[in-house]
Amino acid sequence: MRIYWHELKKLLTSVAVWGFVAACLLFNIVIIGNSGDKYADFVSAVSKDTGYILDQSFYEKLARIAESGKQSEYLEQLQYETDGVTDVFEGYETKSIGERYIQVTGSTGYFAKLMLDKYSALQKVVNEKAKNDESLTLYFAGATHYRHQLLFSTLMGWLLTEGALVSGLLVLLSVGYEQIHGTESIVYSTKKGRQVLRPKLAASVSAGLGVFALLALLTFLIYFSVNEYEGVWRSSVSSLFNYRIDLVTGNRPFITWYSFSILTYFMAMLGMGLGLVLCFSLLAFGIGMWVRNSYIAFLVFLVVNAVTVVIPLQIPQTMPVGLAIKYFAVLTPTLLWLKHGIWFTDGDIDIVWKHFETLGLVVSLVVLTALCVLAVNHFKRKDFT
Amino acid sequence: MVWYELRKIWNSRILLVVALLCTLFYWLFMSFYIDFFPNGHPAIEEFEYSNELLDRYGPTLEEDEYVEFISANREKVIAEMERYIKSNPVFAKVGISSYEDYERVYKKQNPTEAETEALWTLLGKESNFVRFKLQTIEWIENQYRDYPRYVSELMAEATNQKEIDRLNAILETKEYTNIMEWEVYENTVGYTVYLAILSILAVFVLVSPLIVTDRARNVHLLQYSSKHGRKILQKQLLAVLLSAFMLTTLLILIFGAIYSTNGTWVFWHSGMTSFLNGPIFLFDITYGQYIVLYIVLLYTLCLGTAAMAFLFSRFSRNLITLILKLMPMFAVLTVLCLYVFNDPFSMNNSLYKALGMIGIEPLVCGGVFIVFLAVSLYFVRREKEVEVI
Repeated sequence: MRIYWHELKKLLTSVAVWGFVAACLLFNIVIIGNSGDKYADFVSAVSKDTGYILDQSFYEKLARIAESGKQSEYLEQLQYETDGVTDVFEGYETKSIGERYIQVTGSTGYFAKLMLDKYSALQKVVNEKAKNDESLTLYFAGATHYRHQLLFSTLMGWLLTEGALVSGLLVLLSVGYEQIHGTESIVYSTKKGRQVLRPKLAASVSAGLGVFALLALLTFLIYFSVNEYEGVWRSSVSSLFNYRIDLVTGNRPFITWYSFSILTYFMAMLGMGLGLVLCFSLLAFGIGMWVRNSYIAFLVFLVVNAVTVVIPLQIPQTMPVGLAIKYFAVLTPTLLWLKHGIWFTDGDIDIVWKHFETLGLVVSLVVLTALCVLAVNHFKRKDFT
Repeated sequence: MVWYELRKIWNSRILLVVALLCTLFYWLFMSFYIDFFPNGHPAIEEFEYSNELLDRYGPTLEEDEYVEFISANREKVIAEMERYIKSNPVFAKVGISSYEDYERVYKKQNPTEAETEALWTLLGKESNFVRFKLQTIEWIENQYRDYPRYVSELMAEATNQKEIDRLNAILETKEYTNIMEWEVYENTVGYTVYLAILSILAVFVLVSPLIVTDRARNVHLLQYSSKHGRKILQKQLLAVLLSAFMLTTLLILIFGAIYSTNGTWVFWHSGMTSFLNGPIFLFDITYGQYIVLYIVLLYTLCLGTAAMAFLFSRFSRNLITLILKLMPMFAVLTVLCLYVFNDPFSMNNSLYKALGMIGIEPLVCGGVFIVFLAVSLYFVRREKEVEVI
């Protein structure tokens, strides 16, 4: 445990690490600074009085606000947008989405069946959502899509990128520390010897996760102090006002496998984000074990991630193996990162798996842990002379 | 001495990684501009007709040539449309027996399913996309005819005298009669922006480790006690700049050769301000001059990047802390590339729009180079007196 703390201290006393975190935070602040939407703030403020569920009580309370003389352009807009809305899940068919995806990709056999199974399972979810009137919640009314994308796609996406980079670099710094400072021979000839890798891994992974958590905490503190969410936290993310842009099937509702409020969806995204950052840490650790030069190791880390994206794009999708590679590639950390905007939903044309993000995270963690074990075993037998 | 430093920079492992990164970057961001050029219809027809215009009339299109081209091609395309209409029963089924009938249905608000099928037939492969050809001829006709009015409208909206003078000159000299197609321009801009980002990335990756690797192992102390002494840092700066120059040249040659397969070089002598192009340029330049200017700016920015990498490398304790410093700088330079190389030298350029300065692009690239080179030289000079222990 003592070595763990020493290793952690080594990493967290680096000025460059904190400089990088500050640069990331500054970048996030620039994004937040350009994100203001007064109408969305207005909707959130009004929903404190009206509630977020679009029932009779909502309309009565909204009418009372209008009668109280609080007439404003935004109030009229809100009345117009919420007037006569219906449940988008009532009678909504998901089968055609799967069929369209199969038609466009030309997939057959096992993968076509998986795709159809996914959408028949989603139909049950949709029916349940329809029964519970889940879409009849306010979210941010007409400003929903923009604000949902801003928080869960843009900001979360950049945060994950920053987390993946900083955690990867911290792991490589820890693993390569002795090589960088020429202390390898001394450290590996001590009683602890090459077992020092264990506290090194634990320290660097916890430092990476800690820095990601800190960056997320500071970013979201600023984000939520600038953007008003107070009245709508419990509104469903599958609100009728939320939608997904799908170039294959056209715009469609935002359907999640489970019923998520904004708050629970936000927590789930953060949890998944931490898991993904852990995956990138493990990947960096595995690479750091094989490639001793930490500079080259980081470049290999970048190359490996880029290859995961490039291969499914370059292999012709007309070949069955091309489709298989594309569908399995979605379960890798890089593709999971790219698809972060549709986590916990049915996914898109590239995804045949139900709960793809959870499945991908589990598969990635298992494979990367095995890679790390192999790499450590290789490292233990490595000749440094 | 510089030769030895160059050998340290150009080592096989780094070169392999740079080559891999370049290939992956090309596949991810740049191959689109090669594989999908021209991108669909009517872009294909627009590119083909501009090539034809260039072949027949040279880099500018005069009034009489315009009249001749439009009337001859319109007749040809209408005859082709008539042939398809007569040979395919899908048209007879909805009462279309001539070009005029087709156009009447084309303008209908709510065509029936059978009419829609007939309309799409002339827009499809089976009819050699003939309706797109007509659409393109009409577009060329309208662009040529309406361009002076468009420039006059811009003049009315212009807020500074320089812009008004420039727009006036375009009208007076008929500079807008240049044949420069917008798809070619957009494609070139997209490709060159990514090439600039790739070049910066490659320069960072190649030259950054030189100084920090020596310093992390205290090799610099040994170097300072040698015959060459502290002049080594000067040689290293030279090697870094030389490497950046060589790598940029290599990237320009490789990716320029790939780009030449698009065949856009036929527009080399065409003026950029054209009735067929989008932006209006702040001075009269040809496509060829635009490419040469871009290359000069790219060299300047890459040399500035190399000087920046040299500085960060000098002040980093190890390779990881160097990367932590380089990444934010790479992000800043990427944003800079997007601002500088998107619609450069034109009134659409974001930097020009924000600051209103003609020639802001070379000023920014030159500024990056001069500032970082000057700071590097200052530290090289200071190194001669600095306490090293």
